[in-house]
Amino acid sequence: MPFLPALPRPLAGLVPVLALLGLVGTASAAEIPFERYELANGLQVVLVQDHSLPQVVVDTWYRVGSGNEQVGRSGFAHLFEHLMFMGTHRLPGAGIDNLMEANGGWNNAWTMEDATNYYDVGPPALLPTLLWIEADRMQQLGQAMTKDKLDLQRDVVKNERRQSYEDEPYAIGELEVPLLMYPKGHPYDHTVIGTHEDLTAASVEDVKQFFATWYVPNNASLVVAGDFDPAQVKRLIEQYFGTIEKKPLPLLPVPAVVDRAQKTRVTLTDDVDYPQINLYFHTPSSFQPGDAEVQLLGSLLADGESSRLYKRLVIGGLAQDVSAYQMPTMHGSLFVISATAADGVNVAAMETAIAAELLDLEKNPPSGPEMERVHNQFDYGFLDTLQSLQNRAVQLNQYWAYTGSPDYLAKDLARFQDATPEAIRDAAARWLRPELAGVVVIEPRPEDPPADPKASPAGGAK
Amino acid sequence: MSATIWNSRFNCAVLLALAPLGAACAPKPVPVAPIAAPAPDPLATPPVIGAAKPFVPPVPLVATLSNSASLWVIPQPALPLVSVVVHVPGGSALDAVGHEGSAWLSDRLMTQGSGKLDATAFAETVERLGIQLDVSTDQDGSWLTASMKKDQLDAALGLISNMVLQPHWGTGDYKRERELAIGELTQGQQDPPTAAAQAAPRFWWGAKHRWGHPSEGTVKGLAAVTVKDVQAYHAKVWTASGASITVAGDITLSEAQTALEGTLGKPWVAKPAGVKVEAAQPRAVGAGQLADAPFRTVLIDSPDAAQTMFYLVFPGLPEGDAALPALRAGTIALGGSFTSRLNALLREKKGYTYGAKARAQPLPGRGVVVVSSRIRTDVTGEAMTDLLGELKSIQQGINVAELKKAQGAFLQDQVEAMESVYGVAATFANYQASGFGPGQLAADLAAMDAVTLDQVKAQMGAYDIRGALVVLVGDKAKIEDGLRKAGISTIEVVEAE
Repeated sequence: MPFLPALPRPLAGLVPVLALLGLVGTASAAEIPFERYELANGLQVVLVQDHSLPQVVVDTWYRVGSGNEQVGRSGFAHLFEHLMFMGTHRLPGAGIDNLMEANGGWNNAWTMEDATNYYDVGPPALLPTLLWIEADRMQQLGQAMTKDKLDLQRDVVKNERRQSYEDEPYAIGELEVPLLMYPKGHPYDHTVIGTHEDLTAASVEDVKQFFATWYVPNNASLVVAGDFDPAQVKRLIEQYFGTIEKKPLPLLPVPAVVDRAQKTRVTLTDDVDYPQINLYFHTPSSFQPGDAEVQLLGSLLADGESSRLYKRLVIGGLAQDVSAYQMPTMHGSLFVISATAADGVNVAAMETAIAAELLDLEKNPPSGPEMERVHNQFDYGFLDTLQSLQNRAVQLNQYWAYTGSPDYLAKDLARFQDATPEAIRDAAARWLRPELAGVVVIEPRPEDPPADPKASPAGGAK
Repeated sequence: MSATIWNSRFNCAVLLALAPLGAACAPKPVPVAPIAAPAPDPLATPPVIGAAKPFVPPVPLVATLSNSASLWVIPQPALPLVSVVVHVPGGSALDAVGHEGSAWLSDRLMTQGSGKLDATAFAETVERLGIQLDVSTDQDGSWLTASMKKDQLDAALGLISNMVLQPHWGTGDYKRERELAIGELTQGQQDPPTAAAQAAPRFWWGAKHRWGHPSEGTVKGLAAVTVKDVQAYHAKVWTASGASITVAGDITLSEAQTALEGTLGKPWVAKPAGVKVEAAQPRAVGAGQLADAPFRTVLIDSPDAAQTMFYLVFPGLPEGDAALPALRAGTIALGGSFTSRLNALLREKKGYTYGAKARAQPLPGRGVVVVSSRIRTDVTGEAMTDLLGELKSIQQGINVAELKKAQGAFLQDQVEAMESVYGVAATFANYQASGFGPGQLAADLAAMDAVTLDQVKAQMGAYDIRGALVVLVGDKAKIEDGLRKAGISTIEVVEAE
């Protein structure tokens, strides 16, 4: 079976998506009208007009991420994302950033296990330039790659790793999660940031090969949102992207479903004052049955001071903070519960309390007021998020990548709206059983005894 | 087609060469299949960038409630959402020495029960209604923000009114929230950017200055804060005198007035003793400078850190200063974007960092400019040399392209802030709290547009490294040699608090 689901043929014309809001009792409504089509080379195009502010967003989503990396090249998809800003023959050097910023625009990108997303934001007059830039690098980024560019971004990415994981309190735990939760050979058996060794090993040939394999129009979706003339934009998209060649995509096996941690526990030490416990559970893939219920479980358990785990752990004096949320991905998701101990409390006490709360769900499914809370919180959060033009663009691209169609907003809302207390209880019973968890514990690093007991303390970050 | 023409000419030339002298090159049909020439490259040149569309920012509608609280309303009816921001002057500047954190804890406790609801019941009610509620404290004021679907507005205002008028101050809640606040501060001291930002006020303003501690307080100060302290802060600050309320979203001025009058209007009595924010006295260039050092450098030692946190503070400009747009433009050129000078050098050319930032932060009476970055430990000295060189270089001013870029970035930031009702409310709440008029956003945009290169040069030229404070968080043993080579031989090792 193919690694990626086949894309359905596009719908033609304007597709109004009705987002029913007010999930509990209120019947207000909002629409996100969009137009969708496909170029002959397979590039998916979605146009979202919004003339309320003079700005545009171009969001390009490539269905390739760290899950597509070769053994010994962890971190490569993300490193490649950085290289996408290093210029082409037509626009060399820092031309992409320079051209955008010189005209009031800006950009950024991100990489995850299943995807890499590039977004450009700017005034409407910049839109033809943004499209030209995206088409240019989609067509010929690989040709202009050099070792100097690679070395430079390799250093930048290693700095990102130091900043975001090595020097970030508790974040070293995240580096352990893939091997804790996935068997070797699974697409998610390594981190998105990668290791220093693998980043060092990446070659220019790797870059060119990766580009040629994955950065093709039939593996991408382009959302243009904002204040633009659709006729002009369609003409430009055809002109700029239409000649980029389609290429066959690799057929990759679908990994077997993983339902339990590979190891039960990892304990690390870090330069922190309080212990932290992180429990990871395998949960349903993004947009698959059970995903919405598990997301609502996150809200029920730890979103706000009236949530179950907050009351038991924080109000109960065991923890300073607690969070619980789904990390949705294509080949099975992870759900994480994390808590940092209150002064003098150990990990075992928190772990016992978390387990008790999860088991209690079986006897006590969400009550009426709790359902009202999680629905209203979801409802507001959904609306709030979609105020941002960029978020709307990313949302439609995400729908395309995970469901095969950007026309999914109403279904997305419905799956949360339709989640029942019993379904949420059953989701917990099936996926959040304590014995299925992989546990990462971060303990404070024991202080070294001073070399000279008479020496005065030199100060410290604590 | 040009390809067909080219082939005809070529063949005629060949015939001429081969023909006997005098022979004419008679055009004859030549059976040559036309060869398709490459199609013109549609991406050969970037498109021409057209004229910019004007951005006309909204202007708040202004009213005054019966208790004298000022009200600005910005109708944004696109979605059924409303954001409310309430500001009162006060803030951590009022913390007594030794009780730093009183204001912060007092505001935090406003969400821990009020009216007929204890802390748990209050949280359950707020969250069941899907209201996003927060109370925060900065150095000169307290802020209450609430965002919700429009149909929850009346309920939200009722809860807010109780928070302001009838907070509980339960002993158990007070103890728990104080412990949580201490825990957050302690955790922040392990995070290099937070540790640097929290330490900087102590060395910049001085430990006894009213701005000389973080708004969140200190671990020692919070430990000493009493219930009486938090009650006293609330009683002094949360009065309608000087209060400003900003509302944005799916609401009219009339609707807002009606909803607010019964909750934060008539019931909220104005007391004459409202807090007046004092302006900071300008800080002299070189203040705090050591005799044998180019500027003051303090270091929080963090053994085995992979990076060194740089946090540099320079004198800036006060809110409302006519030269602020020029300073902002220069600071954006220095470190406000991917292509800014610091990022181009330290990230993209040298590979020392994941990123560098510079921002101008205006404050009442006097502002600051903050430059920050996290640098690989082994190149800390080299990076410091480069950083100081760039700071010196920008004193010569910026070029036309940099000015245009800074103006565009400032405009785009304001446009994006207008995307959400919360962004609109927060933007105008800041203007209102600082004493500006409802047209200030438009005025700021126009002022930035009018900035000249000479004005930027005048501001950036005033960057004086002798007046700077450098806070570092890093591994002392590994970085002090490099720093010495960069000319920094006097480093004060300090505690995070």
